[in-house]
Amino acid sequence: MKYLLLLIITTAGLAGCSKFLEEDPTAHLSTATYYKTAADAEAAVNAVYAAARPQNFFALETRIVVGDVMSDDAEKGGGGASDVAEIQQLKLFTAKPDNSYVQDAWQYNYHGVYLANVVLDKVPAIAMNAADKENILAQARFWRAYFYLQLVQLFGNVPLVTMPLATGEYNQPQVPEAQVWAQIEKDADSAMQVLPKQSELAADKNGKATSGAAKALLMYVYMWQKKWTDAQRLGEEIINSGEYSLAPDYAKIFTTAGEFGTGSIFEINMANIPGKGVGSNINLWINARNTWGYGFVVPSPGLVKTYERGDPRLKATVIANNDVLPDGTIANTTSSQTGYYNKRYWLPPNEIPFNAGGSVADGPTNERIFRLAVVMLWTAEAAFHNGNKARALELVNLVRQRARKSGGNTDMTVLPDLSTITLDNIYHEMRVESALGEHLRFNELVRTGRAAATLPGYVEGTNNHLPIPLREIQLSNGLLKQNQGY
Amino acid sequence: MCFTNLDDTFRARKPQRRSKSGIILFVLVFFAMLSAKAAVVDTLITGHVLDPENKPLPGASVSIKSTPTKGVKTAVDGSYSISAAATDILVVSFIGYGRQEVPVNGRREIEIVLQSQSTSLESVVVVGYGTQKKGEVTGAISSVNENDLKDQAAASLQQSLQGKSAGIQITQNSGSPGKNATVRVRGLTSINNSDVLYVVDGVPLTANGINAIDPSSIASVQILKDASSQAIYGSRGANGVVLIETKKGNRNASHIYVDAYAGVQQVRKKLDMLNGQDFIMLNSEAFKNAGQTSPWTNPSQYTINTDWQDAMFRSAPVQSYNLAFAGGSDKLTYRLSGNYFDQDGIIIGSSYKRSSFSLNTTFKPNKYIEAGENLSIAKSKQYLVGEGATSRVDLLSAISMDPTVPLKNEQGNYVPSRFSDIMNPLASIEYISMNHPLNTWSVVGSTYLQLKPVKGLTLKSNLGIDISFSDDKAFTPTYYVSAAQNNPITSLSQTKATGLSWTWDNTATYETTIAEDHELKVLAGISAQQYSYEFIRGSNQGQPGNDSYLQYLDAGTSNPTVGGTLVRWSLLSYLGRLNYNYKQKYFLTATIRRDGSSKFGANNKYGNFPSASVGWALGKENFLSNKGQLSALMLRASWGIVGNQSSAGYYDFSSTINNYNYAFGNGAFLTAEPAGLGNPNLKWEQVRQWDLGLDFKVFEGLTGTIDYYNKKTNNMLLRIPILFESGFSTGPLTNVAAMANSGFEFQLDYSHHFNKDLRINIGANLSTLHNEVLSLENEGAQIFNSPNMTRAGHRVAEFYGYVFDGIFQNQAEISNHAAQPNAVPGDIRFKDLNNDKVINDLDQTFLGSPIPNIQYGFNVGANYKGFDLNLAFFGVSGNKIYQSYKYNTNGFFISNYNMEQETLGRWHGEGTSTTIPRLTANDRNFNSRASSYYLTNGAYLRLRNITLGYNLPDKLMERWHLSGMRVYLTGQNLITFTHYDGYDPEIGITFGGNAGTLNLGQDQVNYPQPKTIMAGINLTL
Repeated sequence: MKYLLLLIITTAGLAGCSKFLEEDPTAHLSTATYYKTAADAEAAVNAVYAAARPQNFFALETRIVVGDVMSDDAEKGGGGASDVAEIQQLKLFTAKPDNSYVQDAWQYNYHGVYLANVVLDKVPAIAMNAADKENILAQARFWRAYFYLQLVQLFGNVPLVTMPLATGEYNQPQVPEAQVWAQIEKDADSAMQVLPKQSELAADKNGKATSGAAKALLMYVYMWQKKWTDAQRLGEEIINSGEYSLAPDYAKIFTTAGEFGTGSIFEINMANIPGKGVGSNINLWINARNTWGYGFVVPSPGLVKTYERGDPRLKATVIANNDVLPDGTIANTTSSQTGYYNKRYWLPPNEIPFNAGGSVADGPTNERIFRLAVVMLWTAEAAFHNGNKARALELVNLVRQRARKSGGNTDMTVLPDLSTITLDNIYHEMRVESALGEHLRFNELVRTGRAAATLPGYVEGTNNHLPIPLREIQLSNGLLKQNQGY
Repeated sequence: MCFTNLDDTFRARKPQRRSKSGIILFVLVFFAMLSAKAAVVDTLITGHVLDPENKPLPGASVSIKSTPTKGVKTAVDGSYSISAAATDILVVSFIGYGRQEVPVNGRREIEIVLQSQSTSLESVVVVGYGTQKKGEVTGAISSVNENDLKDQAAASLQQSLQGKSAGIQITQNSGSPGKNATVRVRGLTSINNSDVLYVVDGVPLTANGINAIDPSSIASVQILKDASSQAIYGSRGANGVVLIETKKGNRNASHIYVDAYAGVQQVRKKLDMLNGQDFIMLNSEAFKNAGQTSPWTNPSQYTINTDWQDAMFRSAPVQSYNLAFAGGSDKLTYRLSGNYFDQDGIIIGSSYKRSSFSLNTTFKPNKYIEAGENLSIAKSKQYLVGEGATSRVDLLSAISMDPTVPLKNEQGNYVPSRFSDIMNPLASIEYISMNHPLNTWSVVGSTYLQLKPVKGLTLKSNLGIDISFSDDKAFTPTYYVSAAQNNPITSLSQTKATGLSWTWDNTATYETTIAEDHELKVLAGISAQQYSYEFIRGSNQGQPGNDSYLQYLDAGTSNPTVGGTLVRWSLLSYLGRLNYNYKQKYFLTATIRRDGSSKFGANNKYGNFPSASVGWALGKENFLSNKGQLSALMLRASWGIVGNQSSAGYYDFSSTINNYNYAFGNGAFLTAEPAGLGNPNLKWEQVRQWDLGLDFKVFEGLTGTIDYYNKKTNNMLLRIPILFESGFSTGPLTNVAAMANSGFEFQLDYSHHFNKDLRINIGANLSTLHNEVLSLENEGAQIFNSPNMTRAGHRVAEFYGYVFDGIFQNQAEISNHAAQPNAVPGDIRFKDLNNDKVINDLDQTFLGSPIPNIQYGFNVGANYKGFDLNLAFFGVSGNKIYQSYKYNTNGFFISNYNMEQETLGRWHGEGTSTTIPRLTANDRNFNSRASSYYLTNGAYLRLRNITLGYNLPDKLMERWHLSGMRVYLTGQNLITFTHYDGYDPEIGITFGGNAGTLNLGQDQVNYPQPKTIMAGINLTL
């Protein structure tokens, strides 16, 4: 019996070291060991920014596919109709729920939501400077609002996830659009209260979310919901904040030198820092096929025509055949589907990523998200709806005046000040001011109810949203309902 | 490991019981003799008692079973004489050998051969954490004993086990020296990892550790095949367990053993490749067919005809030297041995050298206590050439190489192919392989303490270690062969790794007999194990020369890099086993193991692995025992659940953090995000198996075993697709997939001693395998690594592709066929399987399995006087081989690659061929797509080993003061019966491939196994 006792003691001795079975991953931090310090919190929120960059080297950024190609501003381009046919199907409004761009749009925005949720879930428990913590949480809310804005624009009724989901919780039902809008408003409003002003941001932190960025986002959310009073109020706050002014030369805004200019409210920052992977593949996809790019997203003849005579913004947006480019070379656009190439992502030779030590995916051109001029035009639209046509006229003319003095233009008769204002004037100004830049056109057509009249094949009530990805519907066992018409 | 003393207990106990019945018998016989003397007449019986090598055993005891007191000892020549009745049973025993009962059956002269202790039928079988008497085993265990292993001159344990046991599939993946074979027990148990667990002297070893064990130091091997025997290894047992006992010293004799052999190896066959002129002719034709200009203008200027295979293959020596001191007394045994093994590969540049040393001792000062240790230290050095699915397959380069290029030019430099991208393999081997040694030190050992405080109770503590230190040092000198094959700057990459595994087992065993008929044995124990692997890697470039003294990291001058990490897992286990039998007729074994593993999620840290088996010794029932012919018959049934933890990574339960960057301003800032989702529910893959078996001994000398098993693997790990709302596209490893295996196993052994001079033994085994994948739930519900497709409802890793349906002879045939874009006459016609008039992805199908459904082995041995002859065959059938090298050698990737001579019979006009398509430099029909064109029957039968030995006569031995001396000749792989036209039909896993165990049966001109002739000597002093 005493030996049995001995055995029990031995056994208990070993069993006592229950830590024996606890191993944490080595060389890598794990979710169990991370999120402990202020630096962890900073890196975690930086990851949310990274989720807004193009995620798939082999695909064109969905924001551009939808905003530009699906609109009347651009044709698909590339190497012929069958080159990435899935983009063409979107353009023709024949895309099916298994379209990989549809799937990417869903996947990457939810990945962004997830990373923002991770910050909001993990960072509150970190012992760190309270103000810094609040700032980081506000950045995460800003991004969550941004990703949900994408989702609600693209898909309408979507599942609303505001916490990292545990195993078994992934299958969430769709909620009505209004509920998504409400969540976006809540996040953007909360972020706006905490985030620093542009002027409080050090230059080496350019690209961080600011209160101005959150305010612009919230304003746009109000615009979508036709909350004109709130929209105009926020627009005026931005305009009058003293934080931003229109950059003098429109032609320089979309060059790399023009990044984070005086009129810039928010940009997704890209840079060519070899080995760090902080650029994008957008330059590669969009630059001319006969230079170093794939030649996608080419300006449509309709866009070119829509510019008023002598509008300097045309040359800043579109490359036409035999144009003299900023580096002095003569453009040859004959390989383009439309005869035009997109100038937004053009790079002088020394900035082409592989000439500057990087890989082809290290494109340096930032994604412009919110600009003062765009906010001014939204404010004008809101003011117009609020009955304040004078303010609308004033704002539109301010935008026209800057354009007039851009690109070395000396003919001050172009883009004359308007004397009266209509909604169409505002819409037109928005189109030429932001074409192929902020990738707003398709969303703006849908938002203002003009898509069906403008886009061939567009069916109101169906094509204002993409289909819910087939894979998601299948994995949800039918809990997710397909959008109407798909 | 050493429950050997339990035998002493058994022996001590059983004779008591027997003696009781013996007395009764004696009295009965005595009275019978008195009363009816005429009925029982004793006659004088003579004969010899011999060891398995037919050497006399002096001092062996021979007695009459019914009259144990009436015993004699054998003389110096092993002879005995004893008077016994015709119906008596002789009992023969000798220390170190199994006790044998021999019915007199009226004979006058009886030659008796004793089997050594570890191998005789009555002997003990090593099972997990203990031993069992062979006749009482109720699980399915294959035993390979010393006799089967010795005299084989095998380079590795796996090599000597091949074909020896039913249900064990051993495939040499490569003939490259020092490469491991794949061992599968009862098929592929998991889609992830099906590697068996090796346990040496009670210590579970790593794959590296098993290489430290010198094959000649192995005394016995047991392979645990069913759940009943595996379950005691719980979460590590499901893929089968190979239990190895190393040789120990004998208590009563001290000897010095010297074993040596040397031999030469050669390639079994060469492929018939085109000569220079045909090579140019066919390549030119391919360019013409593609409408392209051939680079081969004026073919007659190319007069050189190089046979690149001759340059690659060589007659390679192999040698092994072994010296062992073994012996002992009642209190101490020891065995000390050293071995040196040196094998050059049959492909230049490949070699393996191993020096090993081992020391096994036991110390038993009294009957209460015993202690001992086993230690093996090995050092190996290996050079490999490019093979497998790596970027560089040297043998494939050799057969594809331009035959019009010389081995070297006048300046003595290597030259490239003229117009192709084939790298010169001789240059690759000289510059890359031969500067890349892999040095490994292995230390494997265990030490134990065993106490027997009271009768029947044994307490044992066993501590085992398995340590490896490896140094992988790849230096690349500067060289220049061509613009595509050169290295402008010296570089060195070196990785040093340490693997450390320890195991600590504490067990208590209690055995007793209750009321005479109930034998009971109970085992309880606890085991803790931990394994860690740590490496440090560095590289540096620009060493100022190629000299060996500059081949160090410090000599480099540019682009230094470093890396390194450590991974670790731990296992804590509680185990228990009950063995019970009633009257030695009805047997029950029940085991339970509870394992906790660091590899698994918080919610499933522990798993339970139960099993039970029952046996019925029918042979001992009265209604059968009278039949005489059936001297032993055991019916077995077992069921159990065993786990497989090896499929899970070290930290798959967790979610690690990935770091990337995001730019603010002009600077990059660190980001951190979860790399994926962890699975807190992650747990073991689980195998449920039942087994029905029958062991029989029909008459003296013929034994057999039949088993049927059925096993189902559940909870196999896969990454399943999940909703993006989770933040990810695929979930963590999740226990979802299932697979089934079943089969029959037959094993028959027959031995007969005709007389003192002649004896034969024959063994044969056969096993069948039926496999089916039951479910997969990953993205696409399949695992496809062309040409191997794993999909539910089919066999694992089946070949998958289009069906070859002949060659289009003319345009009319193309027009009449389903739409096959770009086909022209001479191209392959693929079958329109779904009759939709178009050839597309949907016309692919399952084409056959790379895994044999039948494998068999047989061996024939004969001893005549001093001579011994043994032949061992091994064969498989029912499998196919995918000859992917024919992409190159049948002219599908025409870019001036050399081709096989069979392509001379290619299609080159209507009616010229129905089997080989036209040659074209632009394969627009995609003739090279995965299809049945590349598949061929993979069956073969191989004479694995043939050995002829001669034991020098005893008289000579006495004169030379030797205990024994044997000389022998061995041939390995001398004859292979097969229709396969490649180098070697024995094709294993496609190592180097990314699919791991599910990329099988593809011949990428794998390193062929050599055929070997060796001569050896065994000397006992």
